[in-house]
Amino acid sequence: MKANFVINEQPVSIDVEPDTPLLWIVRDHLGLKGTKFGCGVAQCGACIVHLNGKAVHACQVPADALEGTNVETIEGMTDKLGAALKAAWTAEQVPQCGYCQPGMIMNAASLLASNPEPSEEEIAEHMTNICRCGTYPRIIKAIQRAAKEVI
Amino acid sequence: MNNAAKLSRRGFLQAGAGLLFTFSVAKPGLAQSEAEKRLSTAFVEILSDGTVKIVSPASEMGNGSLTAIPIIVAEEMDADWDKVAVDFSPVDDQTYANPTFWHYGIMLTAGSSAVSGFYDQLRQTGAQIRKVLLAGAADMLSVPVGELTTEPGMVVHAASGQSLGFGEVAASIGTPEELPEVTEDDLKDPATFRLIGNPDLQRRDTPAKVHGEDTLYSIDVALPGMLYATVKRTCFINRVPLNVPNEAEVLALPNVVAVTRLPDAVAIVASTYEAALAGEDLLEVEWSRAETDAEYSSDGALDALAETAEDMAIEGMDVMAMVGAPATDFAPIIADAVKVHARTYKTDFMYHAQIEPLNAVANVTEGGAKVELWAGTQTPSHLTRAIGDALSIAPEDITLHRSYLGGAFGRRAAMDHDWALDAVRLSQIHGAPVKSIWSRESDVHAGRFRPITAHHIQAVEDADGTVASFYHRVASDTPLRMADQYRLRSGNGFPVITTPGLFPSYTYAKYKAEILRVESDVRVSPMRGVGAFANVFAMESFFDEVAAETGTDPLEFRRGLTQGNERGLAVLDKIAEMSNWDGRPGLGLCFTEGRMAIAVELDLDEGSGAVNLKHIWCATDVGVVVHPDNAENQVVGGLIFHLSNSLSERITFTNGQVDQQNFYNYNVLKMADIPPIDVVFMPSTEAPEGVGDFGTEAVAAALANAIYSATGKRLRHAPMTQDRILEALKA
Repeated sequence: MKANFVINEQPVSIDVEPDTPLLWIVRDHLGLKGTKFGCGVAQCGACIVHLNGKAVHACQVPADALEGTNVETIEGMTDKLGAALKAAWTAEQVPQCGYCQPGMIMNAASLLASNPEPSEEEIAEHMTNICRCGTYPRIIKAIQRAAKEVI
Repeated sequence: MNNAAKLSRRGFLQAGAGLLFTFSVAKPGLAQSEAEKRLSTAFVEILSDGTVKIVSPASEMGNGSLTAIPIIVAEEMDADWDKVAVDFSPVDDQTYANPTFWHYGIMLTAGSSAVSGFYDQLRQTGAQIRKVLLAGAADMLSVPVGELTTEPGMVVHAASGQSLGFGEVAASIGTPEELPEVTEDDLKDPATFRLIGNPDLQRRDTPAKVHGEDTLYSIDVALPGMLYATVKRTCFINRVPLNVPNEAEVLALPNVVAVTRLPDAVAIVASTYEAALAGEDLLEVEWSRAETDAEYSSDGALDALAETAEDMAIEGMDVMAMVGAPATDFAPIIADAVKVHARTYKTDFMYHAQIEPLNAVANVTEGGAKVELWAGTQTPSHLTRAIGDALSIAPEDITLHRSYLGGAFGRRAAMDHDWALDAVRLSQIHGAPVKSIWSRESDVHAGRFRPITAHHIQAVEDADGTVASFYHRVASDTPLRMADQYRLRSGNGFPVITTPGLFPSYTYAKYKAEILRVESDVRVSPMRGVGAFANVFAMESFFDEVAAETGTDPLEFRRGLTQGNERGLAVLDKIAEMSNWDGRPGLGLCFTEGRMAIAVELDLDEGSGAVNLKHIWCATDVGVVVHPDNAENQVVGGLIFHLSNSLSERITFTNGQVDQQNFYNYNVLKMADIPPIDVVFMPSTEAPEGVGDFGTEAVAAALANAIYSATGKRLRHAPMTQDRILEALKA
């Protein structure tokens, strides 16, 4: 099938099997490698992207649900919020191996979009991504730093 | 790092004091440009524009070594950090082997050894370069070298007010035939360090990791005409695929190209990865030895280990004798004792759970004569060796692009590199570049687990009520047996992954530790914390049990066995201050290797057994902290990793199958589970010790001791899952 949708403000038309997860469309068919494969079952959060402005696990969205949608990945996060999050992640020196961090940033963006001043508890409740290196405390600091920057 | 390796390395350095400074040949390890004269050595290249390129032999798996290693060189050179560019070193054991593992000389990043291992060598390297630059500048300025000093990135002649940038000097002198000898006097006084210990230095890999745009990990590499593959294995080592009953069905799936048998695996090769995954879901394989393997259960195996540990008639390997210390015969000590305390502890299989799945991209050309490979490995040396052996080709025919590792924790250290060889073999068979990625389910099922262990510990109480003699027996498999035969052999069979935490870090009256090797075919390997996770959990839990039975405060009990270790006592004082140690319920402590103390405070929901963590404190003396901000990140991360191991992570086997599949039933802690964590590094000018791996595994015992403090119930089986806590509460 042809999946016609917009990604990072660019319209695309991709020829794939209808059940192909958005994760592989983004990574292999479109070559955007910032979105990561970790578990394939919506547990780790490494593949989180925005679909029509909402955070979703790209491994769970099939091609036949993409028609006419708007997808944003870490590469497209160049607006004020995206820039603030990336700057905060650098300032707090969050990453260790770094593999989970694009998914973390995408999920954090969706949190701040709906809750511009989250408490530590609200951050922890929202951020269910796995960081195996254990950077969780710095992620909380980075989200709070970005929140201050954007407000 | 384990104590034996540490002792041995120190012994080596002391014995070979003359050898310490023999790293003097200016080896042109880095590419030389024809157009430009430059100063180029194995670790450093200085360009005429003043750029200083420094390479790190260590793997970048989150540990920050790609920044910390260059910091050491740049410090002694007096380089301008803003002009330093960092990169990985080539794969060359002769030049870049990790000095920690001197006795078998390979490039290995494991056991908290990157910074600590290279520290001495790289300070000398930096000092040699500085000496060359000073001599060159003295010639250029026609002044005595003794009148010159350095400022970051330049040589300064204060008397005349002249200065030369490192780039100018390098362009003038080029690469010297030999690097000069340096002595301790040529090294900087740590009080004058500008870079080492600087809290403001940032990691060099952060921006790229945050922006997500560059190809950092091998999983992100794409080649024209590349095929994709997934691979199925069993959870036992070296089982052979006998039959694929539904091969035709798998081949009929869209975009599946082939079902390919490998020596111990079956691969699904496809033109897209999603097609390969669909094939894996469908694939059925009949394996060799399936019937006997089906008899294996981890509960049964762990019970058998406990029986072995408790059976005093079975003699094990004496750990102290392995490092040349006199053996202690404990039988008469026990026989004569007024009172003997004894307990048995157990730990389960655990899984590394690095978030980047195992993967590699291979392009095998010229009928198998040339290999180009993209892979993230902890041991580049073993990877190229494994490929060379498999394809009967020479190292120079293998080009390894060293990728960042999306987590490792020991998972990418095993010398056979089965996950990377999959890509190589498939590329050779199919005549195309292949990206092979193990699915999460494959990685869990055919994991290389931290092995199950059982510990029987006895302690002798003297007539005056003091307890200072311990006998620790560990029954376990030997991970190196499967992970690194080369290392096991070159270490004379010393089970180095099993021993950490067994060397005495306290001043015992009498001490004995024994390893009872019990082998099975379950795939096992080193995992972050290695043997110390289980050994320290057992020993430090037992300490609190003995302290309780003798009516001693747990902190005082440890102080009593730390007399003479002033750095250790200072760490204990610090943890007491940080945690406001007052014996209040729910506060637990442990102290490991005489230099790291961890306190945990928690309360429990007695109805459900749920743990509510309130705070974790950690005080540690690791000598000089080369890169403090990253060191803090590493220790906090290590505490969280091992907290997760301790509370919720377990791999079990039923009927020869792993019961867990993915993160929905292998439970890794998430952000909401993590309490506030405070880490203090004790000020020190001593040589650096590891921080990434080392010590934080002891949090398991602090947790067990805190649970006891809160409830009076003792958990002797890690992980201390909610169901186990509830069971203990009801008992």
